Amino acid sequence: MKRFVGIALIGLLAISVFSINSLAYAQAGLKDVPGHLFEFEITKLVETGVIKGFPDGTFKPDASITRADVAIILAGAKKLAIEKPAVSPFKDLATTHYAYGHIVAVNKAGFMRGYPDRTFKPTNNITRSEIAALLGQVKGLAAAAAKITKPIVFSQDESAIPAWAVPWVTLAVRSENQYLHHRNDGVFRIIAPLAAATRGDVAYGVYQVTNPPKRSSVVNVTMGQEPDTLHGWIGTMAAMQVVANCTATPSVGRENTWALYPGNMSVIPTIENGLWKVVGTNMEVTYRIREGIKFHDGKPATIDDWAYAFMVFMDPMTPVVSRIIELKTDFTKGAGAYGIKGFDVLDPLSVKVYFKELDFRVNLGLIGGGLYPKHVLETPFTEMKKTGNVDLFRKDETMSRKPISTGAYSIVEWKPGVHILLKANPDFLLGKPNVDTIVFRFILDTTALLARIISGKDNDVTAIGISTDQGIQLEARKSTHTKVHFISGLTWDHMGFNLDNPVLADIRVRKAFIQGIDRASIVRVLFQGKNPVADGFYAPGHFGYDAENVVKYSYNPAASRKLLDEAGWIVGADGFRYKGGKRLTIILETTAGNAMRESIQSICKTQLRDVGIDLDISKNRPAGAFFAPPYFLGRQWPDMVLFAWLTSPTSIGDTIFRADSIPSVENGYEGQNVYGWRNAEATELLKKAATEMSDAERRKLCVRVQYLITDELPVVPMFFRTDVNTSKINMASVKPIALAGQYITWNCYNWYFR
Amino acid sequence: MRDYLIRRLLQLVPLIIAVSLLIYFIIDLAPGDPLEQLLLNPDIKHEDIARLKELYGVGGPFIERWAKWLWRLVRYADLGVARFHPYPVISLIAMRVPVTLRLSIAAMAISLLVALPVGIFSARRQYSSWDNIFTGLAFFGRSMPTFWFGIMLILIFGIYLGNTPFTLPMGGITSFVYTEGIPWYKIQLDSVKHYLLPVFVLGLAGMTGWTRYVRSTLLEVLRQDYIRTARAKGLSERVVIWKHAFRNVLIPLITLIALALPGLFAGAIITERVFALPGMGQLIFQAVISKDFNLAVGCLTFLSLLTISCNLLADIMYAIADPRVRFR
Repeated sequence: MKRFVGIALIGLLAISVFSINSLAYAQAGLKDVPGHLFEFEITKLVETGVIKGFPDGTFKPDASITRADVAIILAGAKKLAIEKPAVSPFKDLATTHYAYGHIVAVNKAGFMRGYPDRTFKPTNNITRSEIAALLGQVKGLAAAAAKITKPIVFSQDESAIPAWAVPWVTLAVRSENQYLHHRNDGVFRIIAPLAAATRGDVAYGVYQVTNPPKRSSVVNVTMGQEPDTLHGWIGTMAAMQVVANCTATPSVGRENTWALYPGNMSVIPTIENGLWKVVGTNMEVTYRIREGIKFHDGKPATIDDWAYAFMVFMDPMTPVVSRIIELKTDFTKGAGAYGIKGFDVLDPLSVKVYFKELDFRVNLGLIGGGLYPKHVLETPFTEMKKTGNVDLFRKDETMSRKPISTGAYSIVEWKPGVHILLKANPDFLLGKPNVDTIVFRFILDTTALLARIISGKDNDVTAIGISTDQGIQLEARKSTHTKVHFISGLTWDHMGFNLDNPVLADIRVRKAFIQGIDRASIVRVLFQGKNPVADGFYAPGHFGYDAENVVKYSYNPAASRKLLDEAGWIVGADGFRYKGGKRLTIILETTAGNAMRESIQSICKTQLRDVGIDLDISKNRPAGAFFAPPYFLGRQWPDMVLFAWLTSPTSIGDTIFRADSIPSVENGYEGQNVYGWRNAEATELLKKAATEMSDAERRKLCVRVQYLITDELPVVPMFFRTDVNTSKINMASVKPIALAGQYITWNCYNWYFR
Repeated sequence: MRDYLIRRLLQLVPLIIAVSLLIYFIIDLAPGDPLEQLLLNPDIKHEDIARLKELYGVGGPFIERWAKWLWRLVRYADLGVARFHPYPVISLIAMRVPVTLRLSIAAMAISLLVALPVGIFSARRQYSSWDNIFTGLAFFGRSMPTFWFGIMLILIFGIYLGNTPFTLPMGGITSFVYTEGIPWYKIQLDSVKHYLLPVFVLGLAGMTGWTRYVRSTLLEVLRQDYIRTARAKGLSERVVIWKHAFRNVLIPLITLIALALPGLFAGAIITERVFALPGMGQLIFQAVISKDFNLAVGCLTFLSLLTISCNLLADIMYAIADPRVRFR
């Protein structure tokens, strides 16, 4: 009995010790930190006792920080000895100040010297430039800073950096440093040099300076696809873009928050900065590239390279995929070069291009072929013109297999079916990347791909090839080495109505349809909610989305039945609805063999059975047959189609929803309004939006279009597809994005292993 | 013999023409072109697709395209450029064939090495419990889907044994990114490790078939009069089996093996896909589903040429194995 009591006591004691521990641990975490951009860094500083937070258990990461608090964090992180001399070295610092010892310590270490009038101004805020300079000095970068005169920060506000801070801010974002994090001003990525630093900024910076990025030899990237070419003008595959994100610096890039940044260009032309002028229906845009850009072969890149590439890009024989912006160039203006007009070369780094039509997308990068090395392009192009052999673009090594560009990595070799091997470019604008080699491998079998991710062997990052449901399975495994990222994208899965069909031309039937299916439960069942239900065409995050100005539909079988009754579709003996002896049968077609879409079909069939609609899902066709123009664009499908449009943050859907964009045999299948939606107001709004230069005005127009789409329902919006990527847990600076052209590798130069 | 060979070789010409025409026609039957799927991107216009089709020479009557293709083959010995690989078709085939050959020859060798003794053993002890076990195993191996078996092996040797010395690569053909400075035997050893699992998967599938074949052929031969005679003469069982029966088993076996030779070049689509081996199987499969005409027609024509040549080879081998056969 005694022994039993003893054991029980020990047991109780053990339980209480553990519960106290877990309680204490829960209190140690600061409640406003989880989910914050700097969660990792702040948590690490809390764990090491550098940061304690406020007594109310918060850290206030987004509040501005005082110089006194900077001193505390810095002294703690650098483990400086805290002394409290009896006489304060600063006029405005009492020896009783809560940060007295820390300020003295950072002063003694030479990190924060105070002002010439012997003040420290402990309650003042500190700007982000000052933080950059301060941390740069802590890191001992003074010598490196002395060599830098031009800012290279990949931010739209580089010109706002005060001259004294240019070297420091430039160093602060370099791959090997990374102690100043960019911000997003809503459109552009900025460095905000004069803004007050936040507590989070300082925590991030101090952590990064005390735990700097490490160099490592290799990152293994696995893709479920192999590119067909690496020549960006002629290729369209996502796999090519994933590689190109590493090898080619974009002239204008889009980071993971969708903010735009100038890469090879020194600034993005805008109406505000005067580089983009609108005169009536003409435009003049000045593109300016950075000084000192080098191609992978060491040759300097200038606007002359662009001009030659532009000429080749516009040549009718060059098999480029799309020239949608380029064809708006006014080829009658400007002196031009290489036998092509439309532009004036202002100096070796800038060019002014003349446009004869308005388009709000002209500032998304250098038009045409971008900065493509003339010395590489000349031979194959001359050869192609001489022989008339278009295949040269596909099979020439320097063109399609080993293109030379300006990006963070250059291509060493591409062993078809095996790997693509990249090596770090020491001349890259943001400094040599932290990882020496990137190896891309192609595992086309998805199950084999999953096995690789689970084992973690030779696989650090997975870029393409994992579906949402596989991502959910992977996440459920709670891997100890790999993290699963679900990235919201802009692939818009929806069902389109054939509005020429008299049954579906009745808006009541369409509204009954959308309320007869439970889209929320479909995404819950199929994707555990990872793919959000789409309200309309524009996704949350797109400028055309306004949650207040959308007609939202939810699952409402009662309303659905009522609408069908009103429309004259009466329930028959078999439970289906009939009008004039004809059953309400709707054929929903999709691409055969797509398991996800086929599941959606069968769920909808069951749900619509309840309201009396007979959904016929037996007419699916393989993708090739489904999308064949006469069938798909020619609207030979009788009722409905389930498919997806691949859109981008700048898509306004003008080719999809304008009444004059209905494809037909007569117009040579031009346009993508496959539904046959004829709405005069939406057509006018979209026409205006396409040429509206003001972002705010365009937003208003698109918001109204979104309302009209959701009110008239030419389509049943289903969901925006989520991309699944993975990366090793110990990898830092991985910022996944999934938009056409921008993938997880966009900032591979910043990647490193902790 | 020489006349016979020349005649057979001449017959190849019309055969190749007919075969390529047929291949062209069959692939052309499937509707749609991969370029058309670009239309799902609203920034790509229909006129862009039309322009690209024109530049790449897709679309239009297939007879015309086929005639152009044939002319280029005959005149310039050129199979054209693949549309979804940045290489001429010829170099793609040249790159893929070695991988496929390594895989399929090793697999076939293994399956024959096991199948011959097991088949003979089973036949000699027909309906014994060993025979039943082997027959059972054969059916088991035969009915196991390669994609499932392959994944299971990856799971076992890649994940469960991942941190043990028994671990094997989960796919691909090499672990080395850079090969400079690495001794050749290490590269070869690594390569062997990569081929072990796929060879086993493919070998097992073949093994079971061959075993059944050897067994039933031998059984048939053993029932022949001359075997009974040989036994009646008092020859030892060893001599009866190996000298009299086995040689007669070889005749149909040689034919079958020769006929299987082009299959060695064709690759194994599923095995190659699961183990990410860049072989002919994957190449042809991709080419056909992506409607890469030049590549698909090039590869398939190459294979039909091999098939026909191997038929010829089979005939010749047959004559060597069976002195009764004479060429006419």
